[in-house]
Amino acid sequence: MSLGAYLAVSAVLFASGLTCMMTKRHALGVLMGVELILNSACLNLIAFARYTTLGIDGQVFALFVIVIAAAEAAVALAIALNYYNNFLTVDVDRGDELKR
Amino acid sequence: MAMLATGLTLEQFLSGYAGEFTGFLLAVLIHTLLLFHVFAVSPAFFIWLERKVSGRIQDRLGPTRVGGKFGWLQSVADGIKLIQKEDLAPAAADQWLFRLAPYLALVASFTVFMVLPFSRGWAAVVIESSVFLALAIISLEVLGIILAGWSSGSKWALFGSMREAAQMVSYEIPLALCALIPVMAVGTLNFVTIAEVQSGFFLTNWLIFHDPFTFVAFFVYFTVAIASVKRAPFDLAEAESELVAGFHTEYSGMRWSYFFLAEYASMLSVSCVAVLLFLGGWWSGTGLEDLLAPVRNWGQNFPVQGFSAGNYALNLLGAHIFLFKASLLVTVQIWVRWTLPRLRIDQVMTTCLKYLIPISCALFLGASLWPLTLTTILGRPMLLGRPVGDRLYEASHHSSSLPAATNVTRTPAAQEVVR
Amino acid sequence: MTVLQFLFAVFASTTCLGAVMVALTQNIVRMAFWLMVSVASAAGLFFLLHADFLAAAQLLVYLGGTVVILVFGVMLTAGGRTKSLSPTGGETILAAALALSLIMLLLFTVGSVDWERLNTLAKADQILPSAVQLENHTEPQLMESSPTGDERSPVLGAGRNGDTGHALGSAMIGFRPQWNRENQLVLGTGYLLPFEIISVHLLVVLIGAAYLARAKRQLPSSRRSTDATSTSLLWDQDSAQLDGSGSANPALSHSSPVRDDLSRSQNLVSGTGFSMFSSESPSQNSGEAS
Repeated sequence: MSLGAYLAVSAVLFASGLTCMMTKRHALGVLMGVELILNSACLNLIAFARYTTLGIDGQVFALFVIVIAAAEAAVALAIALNYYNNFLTVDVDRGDELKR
Repeated sequence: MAMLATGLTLEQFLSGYAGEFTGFLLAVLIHTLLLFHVFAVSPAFFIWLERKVSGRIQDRLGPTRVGGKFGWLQSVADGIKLIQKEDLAPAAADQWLFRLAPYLALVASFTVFMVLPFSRGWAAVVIESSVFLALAIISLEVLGIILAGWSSGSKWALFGSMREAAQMVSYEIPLALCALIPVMAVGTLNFVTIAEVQSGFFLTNWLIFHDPFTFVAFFVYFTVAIASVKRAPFDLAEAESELVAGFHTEYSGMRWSYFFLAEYASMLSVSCVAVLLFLGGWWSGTGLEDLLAPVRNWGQNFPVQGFSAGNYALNLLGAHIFLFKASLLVTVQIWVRWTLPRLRIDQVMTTCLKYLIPISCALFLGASLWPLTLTTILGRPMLLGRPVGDRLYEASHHSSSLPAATNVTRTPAAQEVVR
Repeated sequence: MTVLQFLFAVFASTTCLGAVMVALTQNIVRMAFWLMVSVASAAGLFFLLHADFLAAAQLLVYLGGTVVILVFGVMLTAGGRTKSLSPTGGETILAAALALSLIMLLLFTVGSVDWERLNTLAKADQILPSAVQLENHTEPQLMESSPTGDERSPVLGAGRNGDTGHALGSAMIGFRPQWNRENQLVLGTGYLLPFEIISVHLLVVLIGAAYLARAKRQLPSSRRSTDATSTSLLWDQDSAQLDGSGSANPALSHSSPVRDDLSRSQNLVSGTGFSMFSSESPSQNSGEAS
């Protein structure tokens, strides 16, 4: 397999993740979109690590991305819980108090 | 892929006859079928065992009728009954996920067996990070259970799956920490290597007796493993006195039995991991294998080219020893279940977060400091026996059928830099 | 078709299918399921890319951790009204157009770059040991000459295919041997500082998340409690029309006892919590709208 094939898969992941972030109104749905995007970045880094001179550095960065994604999920979940406690919904469009 | 004889995997062996792609597919099929037998037959045996053991503990006889004196066909009868049952899904359930969830749990608990070596070179997938991968897959079974509880459309199932999620996410931490302690003692994440260094006499060579910290770590690991396969006293996910039947309240027939199958297979797989990490893997612990070592050279290329009958026989013996040890640990799990009362959910969480995590952190720290301290005081890293490093070196050198496991010896340049 | 191509086709198609379904599905728990599919198949791709350690980390952290936490979060927050969470028709069309154009752009970019030539140039630029270059010369530069993948790799410590655990660990503790311009082995700087930073970061995240999600001890106002009750009642009345949309799980009309069960928070117990236990028998399915 070549680098381009992996990059294409990564592109699909990225586009899906971005679409997910744009269209979902469930706070955790948005979070899932973020996870997809981070996953695509991860796949990119590892593919470059395999097929170019990037070497082990790419995998180190991918490991950091995975760790950051986990941390981000934990904080985002806490925020979503707080949001739910305050608004009794997880619809991100309802959090518009500052607009009013 | 599993090693057949000296350095030849089943995949390479079959590829020689059938071409690369067909050989690969055939090897995958054979491995899957073999492992599926371990996966499906062992739960049947353990379910029968559980009935007998629980019967004895409660001063009953257990099954006595089906299949002769000891009721040893009871599991088959249960299976036939479950197949005949109607496969119901509640109207309030999310039908699609409800039907899918049992398979998720089943697949996750089956996949663990892919990375477990059953004897020298007898593993479906040999990779360097196999301990890490096994721990990762063990943690996946919870997903099927959460989805089952959620999609059932019943509050009892939902409570069960919520509890399971909270419990599993917490108990994974001490589980991984305790598994890391023997990994640290050997210095590799490879199951095969970890088991190889434990050959010989058990009191000096098994990792449970490596130092006081691994000794305690084994018992902590076993406790946490019981919790992570949601067995009593930690079976809050199905607490039948509070939640009807917990996450599988709404399931019936075969789908219900898949959860059952997954649970018993997981009991076996965490026991296998414990045996590999602490209890000497496929070695009997008596030094018997050293006497039998010449047998490995018998019958080279005996039935077919590239196959060694003597090697195969010894591997078979090792696999039996390995499965026997794992079955003993499963028996202990059954025994614990019928002896101890169930904890409350807050007690379960307290046990993990306030006791087991600090204990395993302390063990981790102690296990990393122990060899340093001993080397400083005594001049050698172990109290009993030969240091693990020597055994590691030996194991990787004199056994040619050991898959290229120890990259420490394979990259001399890197070692020079270390020095 | 070789084995690698076959496996790549399987894993790549399931990865893409899972990702696309995450974007298309409206039910949040089904989204979580598709996310599982996508992430697990991506782990398979990592195996194909000879990154075993990262594949295991992906399974452990993403699937065993993040997705479980996400589903957990869905269960904790699924009490309110969920009817209006799907996007409107206009939004869907806009998003689809944007997504399609984005994916066309990305695929076009990927396709238009000559990665092989770029890599050869990069290799010529970067000094590698001459032995490595000679040995690599016989095979296609971009296909199997992975620095992390095989034994003659310039990244020392990485053994045979996929064994990157040692190399990763060494790099993390600041030990990264590499070849310099004079073909000598030197120690690279490694990633000790980022490793320390990320551990502190994880600790901060742990404390921060625990602080944010902690159970509030006192009721902010009496309005909260009545709100919860009325929302729950409203939900029950609506439940007939809610099937299949949003996170419409009827069992979750009583989500507050779940939270009390686990977090022992006291704020909503009197609202909808214990009435459920007293007024309904265990055999009655709460999913049927009362």
